[in-house]
Amino acid sequence: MKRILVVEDNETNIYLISFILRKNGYEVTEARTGEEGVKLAIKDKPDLIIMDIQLPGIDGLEATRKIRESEADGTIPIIALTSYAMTGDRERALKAGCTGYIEKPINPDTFISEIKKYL
Amino acid sequence: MEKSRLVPKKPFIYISLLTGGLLLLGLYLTSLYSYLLFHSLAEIFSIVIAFSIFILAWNCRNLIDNNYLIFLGIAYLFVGFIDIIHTLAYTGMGVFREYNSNLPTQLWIAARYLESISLLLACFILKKKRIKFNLVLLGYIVTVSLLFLSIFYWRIFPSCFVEGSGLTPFKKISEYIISLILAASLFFLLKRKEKFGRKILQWLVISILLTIASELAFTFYISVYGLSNLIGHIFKIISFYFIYQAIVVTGLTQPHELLFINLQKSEEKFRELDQLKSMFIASMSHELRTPLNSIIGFTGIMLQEMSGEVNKEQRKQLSLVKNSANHLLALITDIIDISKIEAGKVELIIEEFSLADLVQEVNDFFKVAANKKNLKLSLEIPKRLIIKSDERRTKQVIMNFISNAIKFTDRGEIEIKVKKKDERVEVSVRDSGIGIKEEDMDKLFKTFSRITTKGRVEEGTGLGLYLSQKIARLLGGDITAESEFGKGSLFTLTLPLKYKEAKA
Repeated sequence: MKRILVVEDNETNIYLISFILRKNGYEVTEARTGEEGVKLAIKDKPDLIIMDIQLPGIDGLEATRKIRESEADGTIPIIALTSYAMTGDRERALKAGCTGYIEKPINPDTFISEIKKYL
Repeated sequence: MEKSRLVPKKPFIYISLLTGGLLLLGLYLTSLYSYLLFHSLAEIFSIVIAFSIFILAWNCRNLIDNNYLIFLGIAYLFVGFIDIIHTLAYTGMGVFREYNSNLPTQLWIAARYLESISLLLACFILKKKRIKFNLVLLGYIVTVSLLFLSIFYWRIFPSCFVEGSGLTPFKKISEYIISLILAASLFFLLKRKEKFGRKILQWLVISILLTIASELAFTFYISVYGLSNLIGHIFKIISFYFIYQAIVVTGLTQPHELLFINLQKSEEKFRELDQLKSMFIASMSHELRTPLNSIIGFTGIMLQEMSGEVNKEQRKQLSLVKNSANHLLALITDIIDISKIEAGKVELIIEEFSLADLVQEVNDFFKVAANKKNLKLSLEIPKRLIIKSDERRTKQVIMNFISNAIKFTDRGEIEIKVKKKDERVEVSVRDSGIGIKEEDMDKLFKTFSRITTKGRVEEGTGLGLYLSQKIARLLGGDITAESEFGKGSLFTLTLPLKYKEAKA
C-alpha cells in the first residue's frame, strides 16, 4: 500500500484530503506544521508528500527545501497545494523543489487521478 | 527643477542687476539737475511699487497661503498713499502753500511708523487661520484718516522739522524707534521662518534691513535736500522692490507650483488607495476561497458516494450545492484576476507556445458541451502557429469566447478561426446565437452588466468579457465584438505575434 504524507494546518482540509486518499486505498500520515512534516518525511520516507504552502512556522516552501536537502537522490514526489490568489505560488513551489502542484480548492472528481500522475 | 524655475539663470541676474543699477544711476543724475525732481521720481517709484504690491496681494489673496504677505500688501497701499501726500507736500512742490518743510517730514514719519508697525503686526497674524481682510482694510482707512486729521486738522502731530535748526528730537528719536520696531519685526519674522520659502524669506529680510538702513540715513540730514536724504530714498525704493518680489513669487509663480505639487500628491494618494483596494479584494477573495474548499470537497465526496449511498433527491440537491459553489468559485476567481490586473500585480508568464495547439485543445474541451446542445463546432486553424505570449491567459480569453458562444446559441454552429495577419494573430469565434442589440453593445465590456433577454436566465459571472478585455490589453492586444440581433455574434481576440513589454 502506497504511503502518503499530508502536511496541512487546516483541520477541514486535512480531513478532506485524508478521507479521499484512504477511500482510494492509500495509507495516510498527517502533519500539521512544516517542522513536523520535515521530521516525518525524513523518518517515514513516504511515497508522496502533499504540501500546503501557507503553514504556521516554516512554510511549505521552506519545508520542501529541507526535505530535498536531507535526501540523497531527491526522489519523493512533493505536490504543493497552491492558492490561486497568491501570485507566483506555483513558480515558487517548483523552484523550492516541488514536483508539481494542485490548486485549491481540491476537486474530488479529479484529485486522485492527479495524484496518480506522480506515483 | 524647482530651483531653475524660481531663480532666473545667472545671466538674467546680471542683466536685471545692470538694469536696476542704471535706473538708480539715472535717478541719481536727476538729483544733479534738481533735487525736487529726484525726490518726486524716487517717491513715485516707490509709490508705484507699493500700489503694485497691494494690487497683487489683494487679487491673489485666495492663492497666497500666507497671511503675512497679504497683510503687508494692504499696509503698503496706505503707506504708498501717505507717501503720495508726502511727495506733494515736499518743499518746492507748491501744493500745500501754507505749510513748510515740517509737513513732508511729519508725513514721512507717519508713513514709516505705519510701515514698520505693519511689518511687526504681520508677524503675529501668520498663524491665524482665517483673517477678514476687509476688516483689515477698514482698520487701515480709519488709522490713516486719524493720522491725516492729527496732521492737517487738529495739528497735534509733533513737529519734525524746524526751518533753520533742522530735525527735531521727536523726528530723530522716531527714526530710532522705527528702526527698533523694524528690528523687532525682523526678529519675529525669523522666528517664523518655516512659514516662508527660502527665497522669499531672503527677500523679506533684505527688504527690512534696507528699510532700517534707509531710516538711519534719514537721522543724519539737516537739509531735506541732503545726500543722506538721497541715499535714504534709494534704499527705500530697493526695499519696496524686494517686498514686491516676495509677493509676486508667492502670489503668481509659486501658487501654481504649490497647486501642482498638491495635485500630484493627491493623485499619488489616490493611486495608492486604488491599489490598496485591489490588494484588499485579492486577499479577501483568498479568504473566501478557503471555506469553498470544504463545500466543493465534501459535496464532491458525497456525490461520489465515498461516504455512503446517496438517494436520487439527495443527489439532485447535492448537485445544486456543487454547482452554486462552483459558480461562486468562478466569481471569486474572476474578481481576483481583475483586482490583480487593476493593482498591476499580474505576473505574466511569457513564453513561446503553439496557438494552433492551444485552440485545438480548447475546442476539444468544449465538444461535450456543444454536443449536448446539438451545436456544431467548426475549427479553422493553420497547421503551425507559434506565438510568444502568456499561454494560460490567452487560453482564458478563448475559453471565455467559446463558452459564451455555446451559452447564447440554441441552434446552428460555432466557427472558430485562427489567422495570422502581419505581426498579429486573430482568434475569432462566430456563433449563430441570439446576438446583441445595438444599444447593448457598449454594455458588453462592463462588469456585472449581463444583458438580459426575456425568458433566459444565464449563468456566468458577468465578469468574463470585462476580464478578457483587460487580459487582452495587458498582453498588448484587444478584443472586438460585432453582432446582429437575432442572427449571431462575432468576437475577435487580436494579439501581437510577439509580446513586447509595455512602455511604462
